[in-house]
Amino acid sequence: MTIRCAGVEKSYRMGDREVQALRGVDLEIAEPGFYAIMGRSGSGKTTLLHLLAALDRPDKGEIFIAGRPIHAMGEREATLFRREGIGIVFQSFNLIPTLTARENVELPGLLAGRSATDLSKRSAELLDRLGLGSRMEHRPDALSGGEQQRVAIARALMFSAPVILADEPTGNLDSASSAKLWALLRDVAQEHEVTVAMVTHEPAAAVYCRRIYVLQDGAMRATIDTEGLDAAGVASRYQQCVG
Amino acid sequence: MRPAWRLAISNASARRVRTALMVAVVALSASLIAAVIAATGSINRAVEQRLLDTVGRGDARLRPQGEGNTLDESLAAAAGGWEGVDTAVARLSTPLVIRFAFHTWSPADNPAVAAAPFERRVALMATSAMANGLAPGWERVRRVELLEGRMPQGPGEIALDRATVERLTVRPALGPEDGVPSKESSPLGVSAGAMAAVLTGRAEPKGPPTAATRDEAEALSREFGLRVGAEVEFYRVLRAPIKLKVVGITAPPPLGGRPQIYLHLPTLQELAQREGRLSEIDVILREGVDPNAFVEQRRASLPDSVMLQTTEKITSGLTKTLENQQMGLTLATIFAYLAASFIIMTGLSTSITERRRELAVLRCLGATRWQLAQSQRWGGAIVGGLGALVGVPLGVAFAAVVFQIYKNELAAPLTIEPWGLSLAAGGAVLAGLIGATLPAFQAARLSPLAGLSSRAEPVRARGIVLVGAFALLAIAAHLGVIYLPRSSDVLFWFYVFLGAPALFVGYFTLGVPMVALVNRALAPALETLLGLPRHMLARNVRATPYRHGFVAGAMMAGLALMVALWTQGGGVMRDWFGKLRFPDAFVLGTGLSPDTQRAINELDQFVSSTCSISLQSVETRAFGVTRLQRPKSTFVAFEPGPFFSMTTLQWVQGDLDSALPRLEQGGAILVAREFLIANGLGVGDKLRLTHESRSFDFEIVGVVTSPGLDIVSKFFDLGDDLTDRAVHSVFGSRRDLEDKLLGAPAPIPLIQVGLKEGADDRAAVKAIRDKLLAMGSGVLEVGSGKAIRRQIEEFFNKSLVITSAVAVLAMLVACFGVANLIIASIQARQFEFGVLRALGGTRGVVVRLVLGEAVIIAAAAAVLGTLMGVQGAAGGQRLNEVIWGIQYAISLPWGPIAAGWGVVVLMTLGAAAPAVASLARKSPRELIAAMKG
Repeated sequence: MTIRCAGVEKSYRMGDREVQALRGVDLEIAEPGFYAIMGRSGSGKTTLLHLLAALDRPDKGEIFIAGRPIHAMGEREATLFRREGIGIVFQSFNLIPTLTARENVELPGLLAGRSATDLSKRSAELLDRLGLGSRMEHRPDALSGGEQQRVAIARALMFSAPVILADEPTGNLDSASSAKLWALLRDVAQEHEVTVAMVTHEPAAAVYCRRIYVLQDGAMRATIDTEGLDAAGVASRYQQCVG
Repeated sequence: MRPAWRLAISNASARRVRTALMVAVVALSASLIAAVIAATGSINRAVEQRLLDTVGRGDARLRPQGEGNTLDESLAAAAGGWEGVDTAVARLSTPLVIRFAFHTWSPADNPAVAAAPFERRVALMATSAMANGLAPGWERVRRVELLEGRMPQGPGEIALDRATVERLTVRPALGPEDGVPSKESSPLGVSAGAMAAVLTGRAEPKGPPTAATRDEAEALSREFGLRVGAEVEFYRVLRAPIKLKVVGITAPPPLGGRPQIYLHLPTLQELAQREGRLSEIDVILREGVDPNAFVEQRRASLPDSVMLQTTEKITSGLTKTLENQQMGLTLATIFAYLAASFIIMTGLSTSITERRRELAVLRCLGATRWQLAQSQRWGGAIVGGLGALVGVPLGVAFAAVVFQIYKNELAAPLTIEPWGLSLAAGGAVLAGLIGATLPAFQAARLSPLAGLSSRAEPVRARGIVLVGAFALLAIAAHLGVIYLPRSSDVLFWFYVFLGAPALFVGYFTLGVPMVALVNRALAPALETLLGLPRHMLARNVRATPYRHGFVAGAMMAGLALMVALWTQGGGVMRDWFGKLRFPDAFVLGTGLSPDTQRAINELDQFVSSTCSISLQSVETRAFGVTRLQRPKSTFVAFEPGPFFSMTTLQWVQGDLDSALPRLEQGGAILVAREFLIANGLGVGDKLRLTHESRSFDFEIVGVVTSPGLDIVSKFFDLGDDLTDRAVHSVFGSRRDLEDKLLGAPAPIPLIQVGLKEGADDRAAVKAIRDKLLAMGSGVLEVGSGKAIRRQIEEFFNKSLVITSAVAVLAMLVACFGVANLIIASIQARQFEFGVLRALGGTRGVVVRLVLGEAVIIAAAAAVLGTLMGVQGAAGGQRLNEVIWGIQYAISLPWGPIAAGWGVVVLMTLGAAAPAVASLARKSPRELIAAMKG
């Protein structure tokens, strides 16, 4: 089991209002592959991703990633878990603007105190594999949106973590670049035998995923297995789920 | 450590300009501190050198009681035979006037009619110098640097120091009949110097009257110049002058001390008419003999008129002074670096605000709080380290240049002390680390989710109120420190360790609410003036009150220093120095006699009366701080009748009619008003005065303003000022000084001269000088009260200008902080500016908006600086009152304050200008694209 959530609840305050973001979410991903967590705006998908990434703690419930109980982790343990236990890809790339593509990829290794030689070798290998071999010494402002997101994926793969979490990774990309990125994430999941869990609200992405988890109003509404479905079929099933 | 270091390096190198600006702040502070430390260290070494030459390098010394008295020569022979004594070296020091027929061959005044292009000019120059009689063994107790020739070994020989040579070979600027010295002594540092060279008439010319070429003229000038082999003369009234052959030239005393000449002891005794007399005896003890025990044992067998002291005891005052100075320097270093660390803190904090998202990403990727905090500390250390690396050598180089320029005046080598440079360099790194403390805390506290959120955190008024409350508390702490303690000790230590830091931190943090207030008051008017949309400027400043507030806090430090200096300086000059009464004219020397006084009285076309004064430093324990310094007081002794017939003092308590008979009767004194202010001592109180082993409880019969005689003697370095640091005076009869404190006759080092109504003081001084020079020995200086007042005022004004330059430098340093803030502020808001431009805002609007912010910072800094300066001046006023008894009122120097405000506004706008110009050049597209990445 790579990801397991049981009865996860989370609420937070927004001004004077208390928002119940997640209401007893259960989720199980047993095998490596590319999965999507979908839902409308405000459904709680980003909150769930933050909990999976150990960026926040649930009010109730349990979360296990690769068998590790992250709901019970303290601050320091969670930090170290984020460093090597998972990889994160953000919507707005979130590359460090003052570092080159290679240095951005090496960042988690640097934080872990790995040797510069090992890091250099590993970053070159990853960037090369993602088609950025010639762009390694460029800073983010010299890369296109798609290239920046590929750098972010390479960064997430640095430690060969069993789980990669992606938060709306194509939110800032055009449709052609988005399609390429989804295909890339699917290939990465297959090649590296990792679980890639992507939060998205774009039905077009679903066709690249093995299964879709649909959230609505903070609860897990349905799961959609995409095997044998084309894009229109997935979209239709999804629309049925979210009404 | 490695990840944090790499992050810090990457951050510093990615923001090169801003890092460089912060490094410049530290470098300038470090260079200033290194320069001051190098300069004071060198001057201290020179002072130590002078003291050792004065006191001698023996283990103990025998001296007569009373400045200017002498010992019998037989005592030296006796002391040489005492148990435990290795050698006793006799010494006689006394002022002596020597003359030299100065010849120069210089270009003819009127070449058209002259017989040759170069003509001979001759002037008989005279100067007073301190003559040292050398007895066998002198090399063991004194160090003299010989530049040429050798030291005198027998009768008729003399060695001159370079300062004496220079005085006797100053080319007369005016005609030889004018008798005006062409090179005036000027007060520089420790000593004002003694009498400059004086033309005394014509001399018998030597050598050819003309020279045909420049080479020939120079050769003749050299041949007949004052060099080894030349002759100088000692002038005697009604007798043939005594010729002395120059056998050596020595280095001058450092820091403009009195010029020195050296003669064989018997020769000097004969010239000074002190046959068989000595001024002191240096005692070198055998190996293993304890000087303190020796002195204790020997003292009892000595007559009252002889003092025996260990050298260590004599020099301990200076050692303590030097230690105090080190403490003062350390404190100054702390304050200078504290200002720098505030600027670093503002710079790094701004960077944290700007990099919230970046830091949050790092946290998401697994960076620990410690790693982020550590990266900030490394950032601070890098800024501090680079600042030290650049600033310390720069400061030392600056000090070296100053020493090179003033090498003749200082006559002291530049000494670089490792502790000082370590303090400057270590302080710079520490300033960086202290500056990084808050940013490190902010970085560590940042939550990854909050950092990733695009929502800006609203500024809470509560935070500003809390910062304001803290600031007011710190400012109140300073006020409490200056007005609550009554004891000088408590006040001083509390002030140093609580009051001054509280004042500094208080006004720095007050910057935050002050910017908010100034923004509220000025922004609407500025918006109208600059043609900005309503509320635009006010809202921009309100959005980042801390950043703007801390920069205003850093900017105000220089202005505060300037306001404090001018406020306090003006008060001291007006109310304290202005009330001192100086004699119309005075004659200073060691060994002045009734003959000298009589000769002055004979000049009855100028002189109305004279009064011989004795000055003796005595212990009163009335002033100073116990652990630092307990300066002595000066006992000004006179014949009460003649003194009061020519001196009008202002009576603060008591009156002349009741005081005069008590002074004549004995056991009574007058005290300067500083005793009343500092210690509440007034008429009817008893004051214990102590000199060596003698003490007496004198009754105070009057409190008066000082006649400034002690200041005259100090200004001209009369007496042992290096070892006996004395402040303020008590006044009594010479008989009391001799009977109750000295146990020996009191010599006359000063004659006060009253001038007739309408007499020209310059002409009177010249007449007195000429007459006394003709008499020969014993005169160091003749001057007028007006002249000394003018010189002290000039010295004071120069000091104010120099220290104001330091204040302006502090403002310049703060400018780098302002520039840093403006750059950061512009970078952080490029997108916002881009949108503004895209919506139709002109370049002018954006530029005026940023300049408007700079004006608000400058205005807040001006208000803060003025308030802090005035409060700092009030602190200084209180310290002066309680510790030194100097009382003066504070009134604001509006001129310098207005100038300071102008400088602050101009510097702030100047600091903002480059960043604003760069912003103006960018297109809306470039500005909006800044969000990418």
